[in-house]
Formats: sequence, structure tokens, C-alpha cells
Amino acid sequence: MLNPSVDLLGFLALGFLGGFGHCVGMCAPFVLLVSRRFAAPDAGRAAALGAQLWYTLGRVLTYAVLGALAGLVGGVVELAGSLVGLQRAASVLAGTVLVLEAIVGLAGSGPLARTKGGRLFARVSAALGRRVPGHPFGLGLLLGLLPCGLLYSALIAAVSRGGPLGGALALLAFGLGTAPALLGVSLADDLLARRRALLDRLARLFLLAMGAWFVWTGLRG
Amino acid sequence: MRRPRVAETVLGLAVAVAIAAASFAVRQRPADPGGSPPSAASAAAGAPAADVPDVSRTDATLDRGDLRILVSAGPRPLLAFSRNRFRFRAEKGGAAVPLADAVVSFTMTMPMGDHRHALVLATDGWQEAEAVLPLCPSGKRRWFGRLDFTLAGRARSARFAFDLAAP
Repeated sequence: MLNPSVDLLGFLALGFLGGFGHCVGMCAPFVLLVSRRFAAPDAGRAAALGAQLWYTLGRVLTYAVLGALAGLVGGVVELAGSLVGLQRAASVLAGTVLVLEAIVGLAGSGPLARTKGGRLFARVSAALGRRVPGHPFGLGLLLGLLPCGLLYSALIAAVSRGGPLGGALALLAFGLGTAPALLGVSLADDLLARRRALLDRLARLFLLAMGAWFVWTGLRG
Repeated sequence: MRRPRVAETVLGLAVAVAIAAASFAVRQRPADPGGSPPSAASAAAGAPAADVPDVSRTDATLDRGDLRILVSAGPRPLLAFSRNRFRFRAEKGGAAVPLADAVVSFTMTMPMGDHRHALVLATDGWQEAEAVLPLCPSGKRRWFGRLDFTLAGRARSARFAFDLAAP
């Protein structure tokens, strides 16, 4: 039996459980990026939550479109083949943004900020920043394309939904299911960030490592 | 100088610990939420490779006491995002034995969702399932399969491993 039918609650559960088991580890850097890029440190928790909700909405919408495509083509083989180039590009771009964000952040508050290298990184980061979405919703739309094994699993299951609407609803449920875990990461980051100095540096190192990993993954294919 | 907000920091740490604990719990729990027999998620994924026959290149035989299960997978090489067929034939004393309630599930070390398929009887007497499995972007290729079935009223299982190549 191929692709046993999964109901919408099943997709929601897949996203919810996978959110804690998978997404927290893989996507936490992007959650940190959204908080740091789109909500000022002193803007309050509501601003950070608002940015995260816009980011989540964008990501879920991209998932829904992918689900509709999976339901439309009736198989993930063709979809995966046509998406692979786009996903690699998204991985390299997202990884590069993370690395630059981390380096600028690490250097920004120290003596490196006044060096030629620090200023160069800041300029490169600003230049790249103009090429990535300036709103968390846009960033969510883009990062929804990142290669992800759990997303692939959801797409494979969505094929059995029998059409684009069913596929879109399935991935919508999956995406919404992933939200609590990632919003929890955002909440923890926001609360922990009151102790900015050390924790912020640790977060930047995390961003740096994950960014390098995403670039490597995208280039290696 | 701003006064440290101890309460919020403690709350943040508590949320972070809760997330980490939930992640750990999810990783430890069976991959099959349907309440089926102990899943392959924790058992197979954590099993030493030496204990698990590899069906990537050749068929394998799983011996379970007086029960022998032949496992075949194809077409080879097994590819991600492709229809892979997993076939099983149980024998006892040289005679074929049908496996009741047979389900094959697939996991790997990275959580990849639920991949469970009920076996159907093929025309040649083998029991089989077709599965489309995803590619792990982290580069891991090793998957583990677990066959759960009932024989003489007793729940039993058998494990195997295989590598899934990129299409």
C-alpha cells in the first residue's frame, strides 16, 4: 500500500511532534534571525511575537502552495526534481544571511566593529539585506522553500489527498502544527535575551554554525 | 545601570528547558502514534548496524527462532522520492506462513515523520508494500525498516536496514 491516507489531524500532529523533534533543531536559527532582524531588542515581546507570526504565516503559505503542487502533480518525484535547484539556492542564500548576521553581530559590539574587516562585513551584510525580504512574511515565504526531510514526508503523504486543495489544506495543517515549537523557541529567546551579553553571543555562534551548515548543504546538493 | 530582570530570565530558561525536554521526549517516543507495537524509531534507529541485515544490495534472511523471513527490496539501487517495493516471505519448516496484521515502518536517525505501510499479498505469495521515502538534506542515507506482525496470536517484529540514494 502506497501513501496511506492521512487526515488533517494527522498532518497537524506530524507538524506538532516534528516541530519539537526536528524543527527546533533545524530551524531555530531562523527564528532567532527573525527576532533579531525584525524586532528591536527593546521593542517588547509583542513586537517579537508579531514578527514571528508574520514569518510563520509566510512559511505556512509556502508549505500550502507546495502541498497544492504535490496534490496537483500527484507525486513528489516530479515536484522534488523541479524544486531541487530552487531549494539549494534558498539554502545557500539563507545560510549566507545567517553567517553574515552572526559575524556582524559578534563583531558589532566589540573592537572588531571598528576594524576594516568589521566595516566590510557590515557593508556586505547591508548589501545582502537589501536582497532578502524586508518583512518577516516575505522571509517566511522564502524560507518555506528550504530543503527539509520532514516537509518532504508531509508532501509524500499529501499526494494521497487527491488534489491541489486537499494537498494545500494538508500542508497548511502541517505548517500550523510546527508553529508552537518554533514560537516557543522565539519566546524562550525573547525572555532569555534580557541577559543580552553572553546569551546573544552564544546565539550568534549558533547562527554562524547553522548558517555555514546551510551554505554547505545547498552547495553540496 | 539597568536592573537584571531575574524573573524573566528564569522564565526564559524554563521555556528553553521545556522545549528541550519536549524535543527529547518526542525523539524517544515511538514514531507510530497509532499505538502499534514498539516502533522502529527508537529501537531500529539506535540499533547497532551489525545486528541489522542490510538489504541495499542483496536480499536478506531474518531468522526468528523457527521462523525465517526472506526480505527483498527493489528496484535497486533504492532511491529517495521513488517507489521502492519491500517484499517479505515468512517460512516455517520450509512452508510459507502468512503474516497477520503485517506492517512495515521506516525510520532514520533524523526524525522524518511516519512512514508505515500495511503489507498486501502479492500474486506469488509474498507480502509486500510500496513506499516513497524522502531524502534527508543532512546527507544521511541510512534507513531502518521494521516489520511488525502477528503469528499464532503473538506480536513479533524483525528489523533490517538499507541505504537510500539520492534520485
